[in-house]
Amino acid sequence: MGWLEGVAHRAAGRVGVALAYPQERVEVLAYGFFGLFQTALLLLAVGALGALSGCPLEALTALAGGSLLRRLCGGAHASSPLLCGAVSTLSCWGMALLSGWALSLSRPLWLAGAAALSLLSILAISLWAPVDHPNKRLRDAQLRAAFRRRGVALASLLAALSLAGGLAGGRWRSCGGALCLAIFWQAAALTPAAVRLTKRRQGPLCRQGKEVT
Amino acid sequence: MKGKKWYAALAALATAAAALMASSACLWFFYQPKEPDCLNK
Repeated sequence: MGWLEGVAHRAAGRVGVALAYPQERVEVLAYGFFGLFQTALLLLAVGALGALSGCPLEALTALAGGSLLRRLCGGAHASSPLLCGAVSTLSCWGMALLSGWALSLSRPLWLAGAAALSLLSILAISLWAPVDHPNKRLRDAQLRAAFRRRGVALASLLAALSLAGGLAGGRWRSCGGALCLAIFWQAAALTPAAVRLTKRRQGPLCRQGKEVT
Repeated sequence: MKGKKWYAALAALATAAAALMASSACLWFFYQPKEPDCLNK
């Protein structure tokens, strides 16, 4: 168990003792605390790194867009909360910097690139989402189909927002760029290559798309 | 009594977060902790 999970379990234990909760309820609290702590830490880390580079809004946009999509699509996972934090922080920061650089492109070129990335992402999501994890299995075929449909719908909405930002120009365009890259990054985490990479570290237990055993 | 209110508020917040995570395909970042069996049901 990582240090963050340890902190979450200790916090849950303390609350559980104070409120005389059964063990099952304390486990639920620990799960919830872990999500809250990880979210807070990542918001701080991404915000701080973005602020140091002069692009906090873009970095936080990438984090928000990517995590919203990940809620529905799942994807390849890191083997520890620390690695997760590092990958998430650096990828959001990188996307923010890249979206700033992309401002130097002409508007038609920017829009064409964003549209192409968005289409590829939506295609990947329709093919491979959701990708589950041994710690959270998605066994029901109907549920998996529902997550896939919602993932495609959300990706389409976010892509439309990204393109709208591109049309608006200025800060909106850089945020739109960060959002587009976040969608693409999450879609890439669904591909067989990404899943194979994490399978080597976690074992052959991640399932993709429609396959249910 | 005041302390217990704080703990209850924290418990409510954590439970809401856990319910939100349980209704998702995964936790919204790159690491997925073990989900409690009761949430699976």
